[in-house]
Amino acid sequence: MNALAQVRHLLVNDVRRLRWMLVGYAACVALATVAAYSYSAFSPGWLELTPVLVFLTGFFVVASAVQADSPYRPDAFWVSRPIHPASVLGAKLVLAMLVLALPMAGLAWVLAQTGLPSDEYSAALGGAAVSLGPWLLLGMAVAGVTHDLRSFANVFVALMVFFLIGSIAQIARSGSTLRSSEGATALATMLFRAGPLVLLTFVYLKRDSLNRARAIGGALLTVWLVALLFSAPSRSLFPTKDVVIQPEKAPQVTLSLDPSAPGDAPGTLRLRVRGKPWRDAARLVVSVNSMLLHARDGVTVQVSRVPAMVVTLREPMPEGSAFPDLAVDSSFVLTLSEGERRRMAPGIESIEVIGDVVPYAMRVVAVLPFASGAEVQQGGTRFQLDSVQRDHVGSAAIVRTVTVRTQQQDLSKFAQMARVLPRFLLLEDGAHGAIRMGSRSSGTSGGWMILPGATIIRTWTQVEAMTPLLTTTAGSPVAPARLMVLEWKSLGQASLRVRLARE
Amino acid sequence: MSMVEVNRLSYSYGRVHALRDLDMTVPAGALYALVGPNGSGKTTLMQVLLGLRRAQGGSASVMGRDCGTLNASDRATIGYIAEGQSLPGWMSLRQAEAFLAPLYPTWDAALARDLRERFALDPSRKLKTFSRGEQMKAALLCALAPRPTLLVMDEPFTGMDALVRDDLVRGLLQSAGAEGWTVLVCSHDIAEVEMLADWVGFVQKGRMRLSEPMDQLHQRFKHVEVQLADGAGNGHSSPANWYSVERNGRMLSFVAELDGSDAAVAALHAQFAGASRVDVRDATLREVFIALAREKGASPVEVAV
Repeated sequence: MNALAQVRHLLVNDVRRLRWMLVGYAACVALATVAAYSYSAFSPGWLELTPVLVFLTGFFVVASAVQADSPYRPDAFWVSRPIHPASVLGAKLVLAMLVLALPMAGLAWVLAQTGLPSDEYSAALGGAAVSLGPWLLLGMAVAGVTHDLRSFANVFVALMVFFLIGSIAQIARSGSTLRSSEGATALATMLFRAGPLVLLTFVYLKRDSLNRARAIGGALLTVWLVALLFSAPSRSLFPTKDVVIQPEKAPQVTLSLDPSAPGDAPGTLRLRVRGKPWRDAARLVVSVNSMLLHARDGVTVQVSRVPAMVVTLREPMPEGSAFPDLAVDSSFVLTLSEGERRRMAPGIESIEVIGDVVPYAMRVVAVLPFASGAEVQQGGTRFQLDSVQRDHVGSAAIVRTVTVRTQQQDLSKFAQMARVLPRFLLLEDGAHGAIRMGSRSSGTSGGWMILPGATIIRTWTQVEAMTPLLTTTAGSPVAPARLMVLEWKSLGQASLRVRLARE
Repeated sequence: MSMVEVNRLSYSYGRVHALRDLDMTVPAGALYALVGPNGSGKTTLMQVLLGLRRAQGGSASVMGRDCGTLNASDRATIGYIAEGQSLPGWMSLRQAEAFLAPLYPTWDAALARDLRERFALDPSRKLKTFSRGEQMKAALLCALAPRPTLLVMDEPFTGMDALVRDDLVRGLLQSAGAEGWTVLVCSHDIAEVEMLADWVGFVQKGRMRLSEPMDQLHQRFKHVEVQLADGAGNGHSSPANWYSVERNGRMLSFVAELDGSDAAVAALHAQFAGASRVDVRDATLREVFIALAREKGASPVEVAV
């Protein structure tokens, strides 16, 4: 029987030996998969524990497999048989791969249902593999140098305490003047991922080496801890608080003075801001902080009470797609006071607008019917509406989102934050316009999705109608409406100071 | 040709020396019994021979191959039963046979069936449901069915009743004789070992105290029982080659280590010329074992000559 045949022979034997444990493990995986698939914002909290169950049972399956054929006990059944230790090790590793593959398959299937972008999909799977894989190897290595499940559990709990101390030390160290090292980070990661495999290989291939194996394990652990102390803080422990925006040159903005004063209000001006569409699904938000009105006789009046931000949505929103009209065209109405009008009586020679231009990349993440129980899934996020109120008093709802967060995503970026906490617009059917929905309160919770590596983030946001946005056609306050979920990404900021002279 | 060759073998557990410069030779085809007190290093020696522990000093070889380099092919020709051998309890005996058979090119299914019947083992029962004795029989079956060239057994009779032990020994004797196996057995059951072995090695404190054919042992070690003459009492210390010396009134008994010659026995008789009765016979292995295992008393027995 060659080595490969031995691996297969031993693997089949292991699977038969551990069949009931594997059945239990598969049941845990199935439960976690169903829990993740149901993927509901209304899921009971205990379902969030199922990934932990998967993790622990998987752990004990591989530990049991190793201890069943102890690599160091001289009275183990296999040691005096014509079996190469590498074959035993190979069979254990293949079994560990099966243990890993089972929840990975569940995760792959669930993620496929979420509509997650392909790069995040593969990142989530890869993240799960590199998260659980080293833990399984660590479990196997600990099982390899302990003689029963009890001593295994004891050593493992001790290791967890050790890890905890290491993490606390790392957090404590982050405030000190000691410098972090990328090399130390790489070493700590490498040791965590490869150290257990090295130890396991050693203990299987080198007979009568338990003490040496334990010494090697202790040395690896010590080096790992030291490397951890000098490694750069991980993002999971230290999420970046500051939003880093790569400054980009703001596009050209044109301000125009609307000669036709609206309505019958004397001294009322309409300011229209126009910008060239400069990239797909991008918007300019012009924030006007103040205006200087220069009269013909040299008198200047400063007006600060201008709306901080005006966004006009001029066209009906097609469902689930980008805005068709990419041209920036915002306007606001400024009514001069009696005194200002008197001072401007000789006529306005020029207007100086002082403010900021902030370009935003934006996309429509989802559009839902504004009704209780409405649900839509888009781009890895599921949106659900609850407690919808729509009457003459106003419109309000609780928006629940369940989103898959992967290691690929960088939560420091606004886009991802916006995805977790999106913005909302209420689109009234039959009306050309939108109502901004503001949030009164919100909350977030999260947990593993079958395995570590992919995380489910659940949020709830209580929204209510705020500012009507340029409703060109009045809608009925009780007419059917849709909730549009927007994602905005600030791309930079440019100061604005424009002087508009009368032609 | 020797099947096992050990030269100046040493092994320590930390500061505890299990084996010290131990020498041993097991001829091919021998039924070699390794005896010695608890903690004398027998099990460690066997584990080194099986390559389960690495020699820390000296050398050990099995079938001409260094024990530290035994590979799967070598192990296929060695049957081993460890002391308290662990078995895959979740398997039935039939499953265990099915698991092992493909691993051994020489696995003899007929012999396995024969042994199963002889040991009265139910092949469908899980091994964990077997009694201690039955488990040892199952382990023996697994070790014997591949028809090993060398069979190494560490306390194989533990937990077996006398009938089974006797049966097993007879079976082993038959098989070993017919197959030409070399058997190395370590046991506290001296009576069974004596029945089985034609060679014996006595290990004491990690050293080989003696290693020789059983016949030679019997020739060299004599059990002497003397009924001393009336009034005997003015004696002196027993010689260094007398072990287990006991005196009870006029009765004196001891085990004498001689050179195996008739002259030495005659000299012993002459030494007790004045005694009422002198009985000299071959010492049993048990008597030799006890004699060698016991330290000589601090206060030597006074004997009259």
